[in-house]
Amino acid sequence: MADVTIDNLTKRFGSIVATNEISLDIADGELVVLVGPSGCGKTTTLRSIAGLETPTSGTITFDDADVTDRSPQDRDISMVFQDLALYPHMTAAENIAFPLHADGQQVTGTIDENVEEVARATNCDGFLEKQVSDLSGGQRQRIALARALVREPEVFLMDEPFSDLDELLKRQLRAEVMRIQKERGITMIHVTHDQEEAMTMGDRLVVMNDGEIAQIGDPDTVYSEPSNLFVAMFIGSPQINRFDCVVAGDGVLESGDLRFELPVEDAEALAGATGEEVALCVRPRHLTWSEDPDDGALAVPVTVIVTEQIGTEDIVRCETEDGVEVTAVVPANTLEFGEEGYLVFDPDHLHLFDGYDDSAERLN
Amino acid sequence: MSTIRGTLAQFPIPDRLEDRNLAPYLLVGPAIATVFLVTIGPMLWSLWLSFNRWKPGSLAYQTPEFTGVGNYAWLFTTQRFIDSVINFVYYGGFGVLLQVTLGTFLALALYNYVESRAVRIGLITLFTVPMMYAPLVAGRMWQLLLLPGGGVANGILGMVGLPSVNWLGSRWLGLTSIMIADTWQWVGLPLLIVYGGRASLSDSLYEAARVDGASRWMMFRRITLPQLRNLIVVAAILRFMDAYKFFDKLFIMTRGGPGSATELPTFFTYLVGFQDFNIGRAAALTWVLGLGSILTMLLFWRYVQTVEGV
Repeated sequence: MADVTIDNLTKRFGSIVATNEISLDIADGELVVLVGPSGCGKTTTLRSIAGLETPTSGTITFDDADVTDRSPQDRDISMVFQDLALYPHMTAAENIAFPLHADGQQVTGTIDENVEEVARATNCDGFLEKQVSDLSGGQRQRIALARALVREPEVFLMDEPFSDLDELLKRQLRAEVMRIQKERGITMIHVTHDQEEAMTMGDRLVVMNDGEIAQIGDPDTVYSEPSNLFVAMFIGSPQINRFDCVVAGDGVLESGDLRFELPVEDAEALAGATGEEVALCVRPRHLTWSEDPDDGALAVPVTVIVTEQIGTEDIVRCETEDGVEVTAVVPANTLEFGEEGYLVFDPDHLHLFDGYDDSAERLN
Repeated sequence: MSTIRGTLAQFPIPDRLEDRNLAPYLLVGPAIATVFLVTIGPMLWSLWLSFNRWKPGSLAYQTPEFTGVGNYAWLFTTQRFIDSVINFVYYGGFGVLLQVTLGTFLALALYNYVESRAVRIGLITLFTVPMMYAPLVAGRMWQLLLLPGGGVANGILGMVGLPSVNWLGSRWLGLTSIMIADTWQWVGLPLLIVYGGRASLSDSLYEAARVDGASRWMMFRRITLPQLRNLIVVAAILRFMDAYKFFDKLFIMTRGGPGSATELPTFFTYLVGFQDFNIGRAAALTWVLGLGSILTMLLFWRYVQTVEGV
């Protein structure tokens, strides 16, 4: 396995900039997840690493070798494709053996052994002789994984391979991939638009937007200290609550009729910014319900409009008098439609950004 | 009747007919009668004739006269017919092989190596335009190109100092020349079929193969060819069916000659039927050729199914 260095990678398709000067270091044996909405450049980045796209500028290095101009065949990589790209006219076993045949060095006996070994590791030894067209979605997925794992490549790439599976299977396969990745110390780069998948799988997340990297960090950091407004809005489910405010004075924000007096340490970040636009964000988990909040607490008066039960908790969607929607997570069955009260902010988990657009940077 | 609306409902079928259930027969009757009159009837008649001696132009057999399997016996003991079958095996076998192989090769070369879409479409058009020529015209053109004296082909040979060749003047060379003329005209068909098939294959298959480390040759052998196999067989069957009834270029380019050296079974049948007016023998010939072609197609089909293996 190798470490991967991407340096100032830019890829243009005509006038469209798919990735704009991306730089990224991936350590040997690390599982990095590229996550972002459709069109953010994550797949282009992955395909550039694979050699399926030729960068407009920038370099890609495996260990110390510059592979930018090498064909995929000469990069020693494995990849699981979004549509899996299994060879439809072959059996499962023939699919798995294909990369070994392509290597051209192994004798038939060892090929069979290798195929069986990887099939056991990915739980697909039960249907090796079946034709691809006779396999279920989950089985195909396992074959695609097995085909990618049968060699020991320098880098292992995955392009949203789980997106077509049902939730249960998705979780199961995710867990298996992570187990194999850790066991074998694979350098793995995984692309997904599913922020939850990214949070559960990644050693590190690379959050991308509009062809640029918005934030790189471990899942906890990205969740608790999003570096800009886009990351805050994209990561976390249910989505973070956001109030577009104007600084009204020392540590005081106003949004319509709402008035927020910030705790001292957050107030400092706003010193001298009176009149500036600031987005105040707080995650639904950091809101609590109160009929009668303490004086001086940060709270907004709301009415409950929808409750959704998720196990032991409810997601409660509320509305302020001005029609601003606020979401909170509260213990199950504590609130009902139409109830009126206050949502109180946890002062330790406020996020402030210096504007209203995606690139607005974190202030506190 | 209540469910029929609109125009039809204004002309209800009389109840009396409906009661006797004659209506369906009356409705499909004309179509069945037509099929019988123009297809099945004549077929059965020709089958009957193939067991008769009938030569309308001669004194001896002015009316059909039953001879049992006489016509068939004559057929299989006539060297000229057997030679024409051998000619057909050569012409059909190598001709179809040549057209399909060349068409496949051109299609894949165009798809993989010609980057400009305009150039690609231009070349495909060039290769397919000859299909629109009347076969007789194409045949005449090639005949002129291959004329022993004054033909373009020999002219070119002369310019580089090579001796002239009598392209249509002997059995195998003559058949080969006709084969080449027909390939020129028809290579566009397998080309179009295979090109369409290749264009519909998912790019991600090839991306996966590249990532897996496959060489170009391996992608061709292990992915392109198996994926296109059925289409290639279809193209071969279409060309083979055409080879069976092949007539026009042969008629214009060699007339089966010199002597009967380049005769194909269809041409021989034409001579027996329309030159000698030996209708009974010609009928026997058409039945042998017809059954032969059906048998070949069944074998083709069987082959396709066994290779598919499921």
